[in-house]
Amino acid sequence: MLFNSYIFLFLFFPLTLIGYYGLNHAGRHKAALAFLTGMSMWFYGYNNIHYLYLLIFSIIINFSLSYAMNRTGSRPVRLAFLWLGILMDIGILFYFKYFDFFIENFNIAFKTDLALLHLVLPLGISFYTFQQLSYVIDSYRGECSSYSFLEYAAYVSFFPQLIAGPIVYHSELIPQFRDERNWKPDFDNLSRGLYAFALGLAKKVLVADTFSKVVGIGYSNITELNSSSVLLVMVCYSLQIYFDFSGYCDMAYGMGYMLGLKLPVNFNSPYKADSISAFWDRWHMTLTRFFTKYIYIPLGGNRKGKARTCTNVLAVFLVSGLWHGANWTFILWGAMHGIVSVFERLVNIPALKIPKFVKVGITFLLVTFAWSLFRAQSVSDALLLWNQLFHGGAGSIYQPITDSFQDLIEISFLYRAGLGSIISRFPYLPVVTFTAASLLACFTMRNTQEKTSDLKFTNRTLLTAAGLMFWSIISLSEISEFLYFNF
Amino acid sequence: MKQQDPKKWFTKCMVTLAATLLFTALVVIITDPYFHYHKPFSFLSYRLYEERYINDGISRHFDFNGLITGTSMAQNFKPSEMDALFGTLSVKEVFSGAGYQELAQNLDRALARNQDLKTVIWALDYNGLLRDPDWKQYESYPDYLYDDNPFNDVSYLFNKAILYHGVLPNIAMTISGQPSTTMDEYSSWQRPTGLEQILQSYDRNNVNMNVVREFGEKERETVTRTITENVLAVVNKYPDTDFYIFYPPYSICYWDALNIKGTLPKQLQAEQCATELLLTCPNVRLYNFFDQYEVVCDPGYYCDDGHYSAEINSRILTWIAGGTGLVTKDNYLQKLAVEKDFYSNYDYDSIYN
Repeated sequence: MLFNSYIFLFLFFPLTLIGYYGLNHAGRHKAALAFLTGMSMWFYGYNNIHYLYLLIFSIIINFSLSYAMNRTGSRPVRLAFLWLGILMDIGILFYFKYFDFFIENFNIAFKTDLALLHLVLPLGISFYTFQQLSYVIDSYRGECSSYSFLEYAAYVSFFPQLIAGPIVYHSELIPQFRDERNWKPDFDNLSRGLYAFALGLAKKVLVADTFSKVVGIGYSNITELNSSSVLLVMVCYSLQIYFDFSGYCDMAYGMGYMLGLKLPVNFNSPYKADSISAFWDRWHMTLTRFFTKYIYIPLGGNRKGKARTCTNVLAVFLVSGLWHGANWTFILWGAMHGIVSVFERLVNIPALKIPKFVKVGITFLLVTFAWSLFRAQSVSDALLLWNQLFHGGAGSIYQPITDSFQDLIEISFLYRAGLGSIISRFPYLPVVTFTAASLLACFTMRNTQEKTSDLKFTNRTLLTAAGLMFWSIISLSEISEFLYFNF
Repeated sequence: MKQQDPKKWFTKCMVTLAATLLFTALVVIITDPYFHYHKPFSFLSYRLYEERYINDGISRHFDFNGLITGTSMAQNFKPSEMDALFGTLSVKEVFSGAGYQELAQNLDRALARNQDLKTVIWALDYNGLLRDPDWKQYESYPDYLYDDNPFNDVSYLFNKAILYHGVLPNIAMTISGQPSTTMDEYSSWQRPTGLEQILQSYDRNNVNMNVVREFGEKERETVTRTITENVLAVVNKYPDTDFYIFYPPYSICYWDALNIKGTLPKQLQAEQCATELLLTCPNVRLYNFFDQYEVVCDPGYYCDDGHYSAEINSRILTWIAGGTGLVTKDNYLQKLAVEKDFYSNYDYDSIYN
């Protein structure tokens, strides 16, 4: 089920709120938690029930192993359970996400013809696998409290974060389930949550999906693009993924708020970052946190000299690339970020006396350039795109791109409002203006967490929330998926 | 600005949103631009425009006992002319660029909803005989309008595209006193015709030669499935309805392209296969106008290699009503032989000189 769907907005989420708080109000906290878990399962299995079986299986196995670890004092036995859990989680992830990629490359390397499985990637498998890995590892380390199976299942399957993050630790969510203060509705939380949700829904439906049209046309017609069009497409993808993921995170954050459960901040105006390292402190923050805790630090972090630190950084980014997808484009994208991060460490970028806006600009360009590889279907497509970027020649924007904007209902309204002659004369104006305005918003506006925590309960904010919700709802007719569902 | 109590803020926000949505839904239900809920109100003007959105509503709520369907080859038919010739009260439900399946599904829904529908005129695209049964070139169909599930009507009630393209023009037309689009006007078009026009989209020196020329078992199965699963399935389901089916008379340039590609024999074999299947149905009257040479061979009636002007649509109705071009079990082989002979030996170069 998508957050940006009629069934979610009109039925699923209101029902969840009413049921969860209603059962808690009746003093049935366990039933409320079971209800929340059941709703999360419905949410997850709505489009494909088979995904749900895998999720339930994974929850049962990981809980059982951790339970067994907590019950035994024998270190070798605990270690065996730990490795069993890690191998099973990584094994399932490998089987569903990487098996075909591995076989394809094996076939190329050894000129064999092994059959591919063509499996459909279960939604959000990378997210809930990592979340459960953290639980199994923490159980081995003795860092887990004793949780009931219901609490664990409610934590892993909690729908706002299930399929696209944030990657929440058990220690962040389960204690909140247990806190009685969260069992009854708090209108302060409900209002702030609704506001965050409205902003997130609008980011996704009104902004990201608009950019996705431009990006889709661009990447389907790479050879037709001149340099200006490639540049526009690259920036548009940078904005699409920004508003897509930011929108999702805002909605997850807002829904958590409304349920009285604070999710960790996952997105903190990343395009304001003045270096790649700073970017990763702001983009998908819980993933960076996970890699730092479970890969970077165990590898030695920055404690074993400069060379080892750089190797560790590179390793983390390569794993991050692979985590994002089974394609060389993702691995090379990760490598790009890793190399620049290492370079920044070696040169000590923060110490250089360069104006901040220059650093922010350069970081944005680097990130945008890397995103173009991330979005490409293959490395050769990315090379083709870059070739067009540098050799496509200047000129007007590719007409289907400008046309896609002319087709927007909002632009049609502008036509009717008397701007038709200007738009006809400068057909690129809508797409360029929208892109520039969105860029400006990324660089200057406060993020949703700040806006939510500082929310003033005025008629203006009320109308903003209701207006954005309404505009987004009447724009839902073209259902689209979140980019991060595929990771 | 004055701060409010969070409870008040939240309640007011939800009430504002709910009221706005309710108002929107009411406006859509009352104006109902695609006739999903009711027939047209006399006090409103309607723009009949988007075929894939409006046709199902016509089937649901209009009063009619005759129907014209097909692709762009049927867009210029005038139901008023059909009514005069056949004594019907007819509507037009055409789908630009549709495949057989889409037309058959719409027809099935129309016939299921309207027991009075006894006369159907169906333009069966001749160039679609060899396409897969489920061939289509559109993907985003408004399924929520086609089914009877009230829950997915949210896509109709809360949809800015419907508000802009459906509701707004109707309100504007009503306010300005403009009358509704008539069935004759609905989907019709008028374009310049003549050889010069045809040659803008047809280049005989650049015809796609990468085609299969043989009519083998695979092709026979395709035609059989396409006709059986789409046409015969509907025709046999409604034995009390008369189906007047015809192959639209494409221009001589269409036949020129078949000759250049070397697919004329294959196309004729496909026609024979389809014809034999259609003639098994007692409630089908099949028409073939490929021997109307004064039309087919005159580029002056065509705006491209296939599309004829509205004048030809009128003539087709007259031909059908008068029995001209009727294909029967007794004459279809002879007609095919004549067709093959004519289009195999035609001096195509003379068209362009």
